[in-house]
Amino acid sequence: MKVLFLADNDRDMSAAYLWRGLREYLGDDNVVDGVNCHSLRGRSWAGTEDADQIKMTGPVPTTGHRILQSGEDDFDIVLGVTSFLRKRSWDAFRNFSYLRKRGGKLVWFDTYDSVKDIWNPPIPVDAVFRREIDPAVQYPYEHKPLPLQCAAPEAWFEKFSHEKPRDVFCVQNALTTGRAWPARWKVCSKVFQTQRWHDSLVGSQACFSLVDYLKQMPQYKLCVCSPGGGDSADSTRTWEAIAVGTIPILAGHDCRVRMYWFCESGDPATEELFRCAVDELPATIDRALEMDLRAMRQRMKEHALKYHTTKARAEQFVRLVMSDAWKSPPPELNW
Amino acid sequence: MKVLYVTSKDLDHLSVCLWDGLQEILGEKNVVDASDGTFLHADSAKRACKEHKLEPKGFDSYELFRSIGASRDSPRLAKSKTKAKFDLLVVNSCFLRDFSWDWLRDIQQKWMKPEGKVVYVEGWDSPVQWHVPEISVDVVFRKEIKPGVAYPYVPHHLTFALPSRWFETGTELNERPLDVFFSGYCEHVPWRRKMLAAIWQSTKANLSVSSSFGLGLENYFKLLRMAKIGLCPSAADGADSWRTYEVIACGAIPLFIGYPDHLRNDWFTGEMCISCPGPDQLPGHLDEVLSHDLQPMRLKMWQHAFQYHTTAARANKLLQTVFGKQ
Repeated sequence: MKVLFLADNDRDMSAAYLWRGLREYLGDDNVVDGVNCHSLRGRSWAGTEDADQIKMTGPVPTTGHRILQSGEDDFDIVLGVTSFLRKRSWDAFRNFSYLRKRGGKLVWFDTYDSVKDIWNPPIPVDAVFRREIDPAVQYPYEHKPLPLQCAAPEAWFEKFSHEKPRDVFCVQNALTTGRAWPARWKVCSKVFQTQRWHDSLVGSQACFSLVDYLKQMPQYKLCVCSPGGGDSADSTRTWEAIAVGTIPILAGHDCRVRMYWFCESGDPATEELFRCAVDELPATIDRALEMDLRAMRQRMKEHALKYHTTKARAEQFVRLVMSDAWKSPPPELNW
Repeated sequence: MKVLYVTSKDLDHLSVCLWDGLQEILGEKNVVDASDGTFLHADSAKRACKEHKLEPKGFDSYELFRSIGASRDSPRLAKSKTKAKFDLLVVNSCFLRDFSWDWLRDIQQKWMKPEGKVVYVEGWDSPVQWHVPEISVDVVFRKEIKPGVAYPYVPHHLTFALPSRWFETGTELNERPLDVFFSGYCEHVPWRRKMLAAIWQSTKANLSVSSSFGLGLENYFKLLRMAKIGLCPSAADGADSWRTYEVIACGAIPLFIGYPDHLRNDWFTGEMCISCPGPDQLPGHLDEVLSHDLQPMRLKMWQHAFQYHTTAARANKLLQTVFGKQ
C-alpha cells in the first residue's frame, strides 16, 4: 500500500498527525511527500530542532522522509489536505491525481478549523474527510464527509502518569484573535469560581516555553481545553493532555461528529472525559475533583491507545478509504 | 558600634530583613545574635531548609529567607568569646515565642553598656496586637500602625525590605511580555479566591498567569521577572505582605489589593504603584492601567525602592531614629 501525501510547507496540524500515523502504519517507504514539505520533516515545528522536544510536541518524524521520485505513479491513495491549496491550485491536485495506479483512490481531507470552512474538490474524489463536522451544516460534497480527528503518537504516552499533585491546568493563548476568543477568555476566570478549593494554574500560553508548558501539564488532574483558535473542537492540547493522563474538560465547544469518541456519559462509572459549556465549568471542576479520577484516567488511556494513536488513526483512514466507506459508512460514522 | 540582636529561634520575616540590613551597614562581626536564630546563620538555615524542602502547600519561603538572613557568617553570642559590651540592643517581639522578659533582662544586664540603647520591634501582622515591653526601651517600631489606635508607646514604622543585592541593575527597562502575575495559596481567604478569577474579568484580554499554589521559587521568580504587574493582596489582618518586596525585586509594579490605610513611611505613591480596594474593582483597574505605557511607572518604582526599601535603608532608618544621625 503506497500513499502520496500532498500538503504544504507551512504547518497543518491535522496533516502532520495523519502523516506520522501513515508512516507508522505503512512504513516510511510507502508514504511519499509529493511536494517536498518542510512542515513534514519536523524542522520548523515549534521552532526548534531539539529532538526530545519534537518527539513530545511535534507529531512529525524527523528522519526517513521520502520525497516523490520522478516516474513514480503507482500509488494506492493520493491524498490532498486543505493546506496544499495555500500555494497550489486544484489543477495541481488534478495533475497529482494521475499518479494513482489503476483502482487507486483519490482522497481529500478538509483540515481547517471551522465547521464552515469548506474546500470542495472540483474533481471527482473517492472520499472526503473533515476534522470538524457540524451536522447542522449542509456540506456540498458528493456524499457526507467522514470525520478524522487528530491523535496522539504512542511516544507521547511515555509521559503518562497517575501522579497528579495539582488540580486544574488551564494554559492557552487567551489573546487569540480568532472566533474562539470569548470562550477562551471566559474559561480563565471560571476556573477559580468553583465551590471547592483547588491547586490550579491559569495562564496565557505565551508565558511558558514549550518545554515548561509540557513539564507542567502532566502534574495536573484536569486540563481545560477551550476551542481552537478558529473555533475548532479538535485541538492539539486535548491530545497532549490525554497522552500524559491529564483528563480534558472540553469547555465551550460542541463535540462535533467524532470517530470512536471517548465516553462522555456523565456516569462516573463509565465516562472517560468531561465536556461542558463555559458557564458550567466551575460545577464540572467541582464534580470532577470529587470523583475517582485514577480509574477514569485509566479508562481514558486504554481507549486512547486502542482508537486514538496516530497509528490507529491511519489504520482507520486506510480502512475507510479502501472500503469506500464514504458511500456507505459504518453505522457509528453515519451521522 | 556593636549590636546585640534578639529574635525568635524560628523564622520571622521582619527580623531577618532587619538583621541583613544591620549586617550590611555595620559589618557582620558587629551584629551578634543572642537568640541562636535558625535563619540568621548559614549552617542552621541550611539544615532547616533541608528539613522543609518541599512544603505541601504554598510558597517555599524557607529557602528565600535563608538567602536573606544567612548569607553572611555572623557570630552567635553563646559561641562568641567577646567580652566587649554592646551599644544597641535590638529586640524583636517574636523573641517571646522562645524566651521570657526575665531572660532578656539578664542579657541586657550582662551584655549592654550602661549608656547602651534599646530598640523594640513589634513585627506582628495585626495592628492591634502588642506586647508592652517589660524593660525600659528607647524607641519602639511597629510593622502595622493603624491610625486612631491608642498604642501603649509612641510607635515608629518599620516593615519588610529587600536586600540591595537583589536588584538586578540594568534590567529596569527590560521588555515584559506578561501583563499580570500572581501565585499564592489563598484557600482560607475568600476574597483572595475572588481575586484569582477577577484577573480574568477585565474587558480587554491580557497576557497573565494566576496560580492558586506556589509554583516553586524558580518558576515563581522567572514569571515575576516577565511581568509588568505583580498582584500584592494584603496579608492577614490587612498587613503589608512580604510578596510586595518580591514583586519590587523583580522589577514589576506592585498592585496592592485591600491594603488598609495604615501608617507606612516612604510608601509607594500613585506614580509608582497601583492601589485597588478589593477584587471587585480589579478588572476595571487592569483595563485602565494596561492601556498605558508602564515603563515610566516601573522606573520610578525601581528608583524609589532602591532608595527607601532595601534592608540597609531600613537599618539606617532605625539607627537614625535611635541615635539621630546616620
